[in-house]
Amino acid sequence: MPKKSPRFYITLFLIKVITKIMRLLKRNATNLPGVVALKLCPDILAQLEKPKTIIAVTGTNGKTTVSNMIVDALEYNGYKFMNNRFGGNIQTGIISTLIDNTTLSGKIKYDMAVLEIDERSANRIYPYVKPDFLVCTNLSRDSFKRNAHPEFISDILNKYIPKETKLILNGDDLISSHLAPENERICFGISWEDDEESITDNIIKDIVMCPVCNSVLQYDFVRYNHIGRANCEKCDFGTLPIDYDVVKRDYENRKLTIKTPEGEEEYRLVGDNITDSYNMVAAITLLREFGLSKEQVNNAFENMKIVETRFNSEEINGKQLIINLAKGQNPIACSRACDFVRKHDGKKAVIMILEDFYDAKNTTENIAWIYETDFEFLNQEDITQIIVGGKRSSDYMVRLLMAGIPKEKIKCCTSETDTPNFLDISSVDKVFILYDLFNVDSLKSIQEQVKNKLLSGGNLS
Amino acid sequence: MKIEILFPEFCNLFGDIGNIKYLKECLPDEEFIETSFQSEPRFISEDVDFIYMGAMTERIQEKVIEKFMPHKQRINDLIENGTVFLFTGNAMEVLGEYIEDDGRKIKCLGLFNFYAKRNMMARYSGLVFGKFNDIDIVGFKAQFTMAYGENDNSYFIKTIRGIGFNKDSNFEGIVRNNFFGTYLIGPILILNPLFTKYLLEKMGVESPKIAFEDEVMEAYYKRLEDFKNPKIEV
Repeated sequence: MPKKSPRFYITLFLIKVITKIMRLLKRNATNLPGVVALKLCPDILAQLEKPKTIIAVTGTNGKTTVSNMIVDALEYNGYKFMNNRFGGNIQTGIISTLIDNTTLSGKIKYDMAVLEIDERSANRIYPYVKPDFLVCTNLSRDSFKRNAHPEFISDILNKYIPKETKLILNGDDLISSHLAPENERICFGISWEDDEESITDNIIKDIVMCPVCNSVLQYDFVRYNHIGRANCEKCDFGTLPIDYDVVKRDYENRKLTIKTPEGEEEYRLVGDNITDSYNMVAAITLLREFGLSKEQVNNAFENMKIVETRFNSEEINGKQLIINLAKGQNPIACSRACDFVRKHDGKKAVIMILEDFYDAKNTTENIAWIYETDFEFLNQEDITQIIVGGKRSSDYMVRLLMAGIPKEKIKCCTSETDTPNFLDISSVDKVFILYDLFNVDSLKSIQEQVKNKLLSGGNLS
Repeated sequence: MKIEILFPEFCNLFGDIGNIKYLKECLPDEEFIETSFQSEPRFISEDVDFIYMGAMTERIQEKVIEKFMPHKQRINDLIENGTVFLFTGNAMEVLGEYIEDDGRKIKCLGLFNFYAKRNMMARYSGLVFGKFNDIDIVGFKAQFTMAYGENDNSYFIKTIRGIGFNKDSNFEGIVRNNFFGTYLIGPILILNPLFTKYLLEKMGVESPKIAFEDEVMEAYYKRLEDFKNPKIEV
């Protein structure tokens, strides 16, 4: 670590003042302090002290949830550490978090950190912040603008993941499980269950050919997109041995059974989605490898809940209102949300607000990603209404028609918060709101309006 | 009519697959041949009416160049004979002179007089608004490369907003006979219904009708309005 310069101390002092003022003004001091710090002292990340033990979580989907699970479980078990749960996950966010947890004399306050790290930012972070453990939840297509394609992201990670980092990887993802091949690794996964339905009709599959010898991969099973287990027909590339393998998911009794190196272990199952199980097994693998006992982990999971803004379900007047984060510009996350909707029983209405908040403000969104998203999943008889709000709703109209959805089921409006006006609750049992991460303000308004509509039996407009 | 889609399992990045879905909607009775990378392209052994290839990863791009190299003359003949092609995103680079990448020179087919410079740590994203003949074209770019070379007399789009071949160019893409190459990504045929009609005519469709015409046109006019708005960042 380079010696701390006078410039470093001045920057540290100024950033602490800025952070304090921002908090007094009730502003999020998550990224901006890091942005300013980097301008004032370009090598600040190198000069900042780091905790002795660093757990990092990265990946395209699920990193926030897994990170939160790890933080909750460690806190529950009395660990004291810093984390960026309410901070940014790119370079400037990590700088903000580190400065926040550094004394004015430049000493780091904690011996340990749990950090969610954006996968695209590996080149700017890992040369200075070297995780002891790195969980990678999965790698798949994401924003075209920033992340291009998974091969690009895995190349960056391969180049910058420190050699000494122990990797906790998704064995059911042939892209991320082969990251940094020289590093020590532990794989988690979910075994195929006999009554499980394979989803082979996804539009995108990010790995179809062996990256070593170019032969076709033979899949034992495909869960969705490229998630599954496969082997190359000509060379030894394929799914690695799964160290923590979910062998049973019992939704009725809320139990998750995992085959671990120490035998079968049972945990309380959090969430209803297959991705919730992937997130859980990722977090459990990390926690067990970190040294927590089965009991310590399970006790923490007993009371755990997925953050309400990401998923919430409530019953109002005999009907269910379900909000689910779908993540705009992320075709796999959004397709998972569509799959989640189609698997629910009963008559359903779906409200979608998926447009990018920042693009809508400054430019016009590249909507190409909606052609990689499986909106075809919403084309079923029991989904009777699809209401789309946003400036680009006419693009969604075309996309939904191309998914085979009859025009009479689709309503589009340019204002997101007008969507509840088109909702007819008399003919449905469940209302889903699929939303993008940055549309939380609109979500709250829509949620409130739909609630009122359900409470009044649909008499309010 | 035979429509050949080249390597759809790979050449499908950035929503380009939407073009194929849309063509199938527009031409429900025509034959679509989806040629996988493991197979020989159909155009090598027989004439097809339209050949499409979409954006791909950089590694796949090199494999495609390798695969095409022995068939360079055939591809050239098809272009000269007026077969309709549409290559989107980085697919067009395969037919250029070479791709420069961090000091490495990747030899391409050399059918077009341009080369590309790749910088994996400098991704360009932006909007393009311009004209192809009298048709307003709108589209999106997201790329690691910039192209250099002579396309002043063979461009696809004269840009009004956004960049052309590179940041200093107002000429986007390449046209030769019925070959259309563009760095635009995504479902450009859905975003540009008037161009789609033009392309269908070139493919031999008489009085072409496009699928979901009213809705597609509505979305097109809304987007045009945005792209023409100087307050919108490109």
